[in-house]
Amino acid sequence: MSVLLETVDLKKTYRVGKVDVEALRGVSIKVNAGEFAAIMGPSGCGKSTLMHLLGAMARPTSGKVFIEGHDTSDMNDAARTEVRRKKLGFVFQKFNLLPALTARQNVQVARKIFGEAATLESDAHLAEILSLLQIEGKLDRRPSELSGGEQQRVAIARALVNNPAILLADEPTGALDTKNSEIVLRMFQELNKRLKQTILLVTHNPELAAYTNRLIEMRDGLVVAHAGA
Amino acid sequence: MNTQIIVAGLRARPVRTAVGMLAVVLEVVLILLLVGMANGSLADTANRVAGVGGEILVKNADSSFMLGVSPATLPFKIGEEIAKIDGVKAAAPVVAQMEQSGGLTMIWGIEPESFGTMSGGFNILKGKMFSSPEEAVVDDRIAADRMLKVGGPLTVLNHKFKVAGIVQSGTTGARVLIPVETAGEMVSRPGWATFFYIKLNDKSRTKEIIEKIKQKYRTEDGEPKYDVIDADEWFSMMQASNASVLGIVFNGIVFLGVCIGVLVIFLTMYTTVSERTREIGILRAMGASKGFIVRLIIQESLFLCFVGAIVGVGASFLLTYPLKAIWPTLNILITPDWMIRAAVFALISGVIGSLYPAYKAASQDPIEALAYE
Repeated sequence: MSVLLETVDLKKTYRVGKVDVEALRGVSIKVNAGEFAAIMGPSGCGKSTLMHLLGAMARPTSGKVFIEGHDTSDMNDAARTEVRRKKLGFVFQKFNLLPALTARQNVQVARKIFGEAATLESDAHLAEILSLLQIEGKLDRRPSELSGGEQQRVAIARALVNNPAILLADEPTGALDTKNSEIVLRMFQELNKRLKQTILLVTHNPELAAYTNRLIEMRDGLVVAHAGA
Repeated sequence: MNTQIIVAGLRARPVRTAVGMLAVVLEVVLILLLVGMANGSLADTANRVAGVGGEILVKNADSSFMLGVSPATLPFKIGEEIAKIDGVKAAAPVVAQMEQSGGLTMIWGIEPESFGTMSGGFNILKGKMFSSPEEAVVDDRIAADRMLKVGGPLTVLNHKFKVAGIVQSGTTGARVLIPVETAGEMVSRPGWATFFYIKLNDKSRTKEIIEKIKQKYRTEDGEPKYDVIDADEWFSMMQASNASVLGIVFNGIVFLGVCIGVLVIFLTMYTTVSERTREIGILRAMGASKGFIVRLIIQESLFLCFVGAIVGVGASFLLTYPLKAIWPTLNILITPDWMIRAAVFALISGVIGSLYPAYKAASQDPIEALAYE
């Protein structure tokens, strides 16, 4: 399997007042194509910081981040923005749908940003995703008219509409009840299994990590354990 | 797709949208009505002065194009002499004055007989032409504005008159006509005129007779003593002269309007960018470039201004009706070129006012923006 995402001795230090806080102290991980992996750890262990660096939203203090072989750690804002647009899909804890738009328009926004204007129904890949996520009948509703689970499924569709190399999910069930959490995680499994979608999930919950094929455990800014394939 | 985002954003914040749009409407209305009033007043004056009907004007070389702001410096005898030139039908002296209280009102002192020859006679709607020094005639517009009646009193320039008649506007030059002798006494220059209207038997001889008059009146240096001008050219010159003066006024009005527009659009878009920090963070996280965000914000502003400009043009036209009903002498000339200009200025306000908010939005750090509550 080819390596899609790799970090090499990744460090990130924040300046809080007059104090330097080391959020990451040398993280080296690899995520292969087609994997469904979880980064797990307690609050403050650095997993969100790692997610921001993997998502090309910030630059590390030192170390390297490779996405499909391209080093994003030295890239400027415009280049990292292009990486986010072309290589990555994001799913957030708070869904982060644009509230004034319908579900369909939220998905189309991602298309627009990517630079394509195809309708959702004309895209076979997306039609499969919408079917798998079971939201074809909800596309004309606004986020306020959808349940939390439905909103998160729309957010997943939006993240996948441009066929990203990697789907990064940051505590995707953090705002959902147990039932909806399970539905969303099952859908992640289906997406990984049927569409070979590479997924990297960040969570503090060991029960959720159990849905993945591989577990990367963090503590105090370091990877402390690897488990799974 | 951008349109959907923009429209959805505007609909989601109706009060902000309405306030922003109202500001643009006010900007357009301000420009169109103020410029329209100035243009309307000018056009009305020009039409009235042109409507008198003389082919040549004779005025002092030093006097202004603006009738009514120049002193009476031409002796009546010049008119009598010019009237004897071959081809001249009549020469009408005019003592022009301007009343500034309650708006600018032109008051001309005339000789009814010679002045009436210019246009072929007065169209008197009510009453008669004045026949005594303390009588005046007014046109129907100022009569409606000041509720003047035949036989009623009229005070102009602190001088009391009785309204002898009401004439049709358009051929009288001024809105108030008084006896030329009375006007001369009012300016302490009896027997002197501000200018003369000259009526010819044959309009095609205008240039020839202008030369004759110029030859007749020369200074010791051999230069023409008076301005002897083709009336048509003079009206054009008057309009051009007024246009250059008004250009400064118009620039001031436009500058004021654009400043209002820029400030309100800036405030509106700055507020919307602050309110939508998280949404902008989402777009940035999804890979939207800074240019995409800048375009989105500017397009939203332009959309707001475009609709505001259309409503503003419509509102300006609608407002002319109550304004004219309240002030009958008010002339508001809203021309297509100024409609386009006002709309363009509104759009320029939209672009300028949204530049900094757009830059601020595009510069937001996606991580911080996503964490924004």
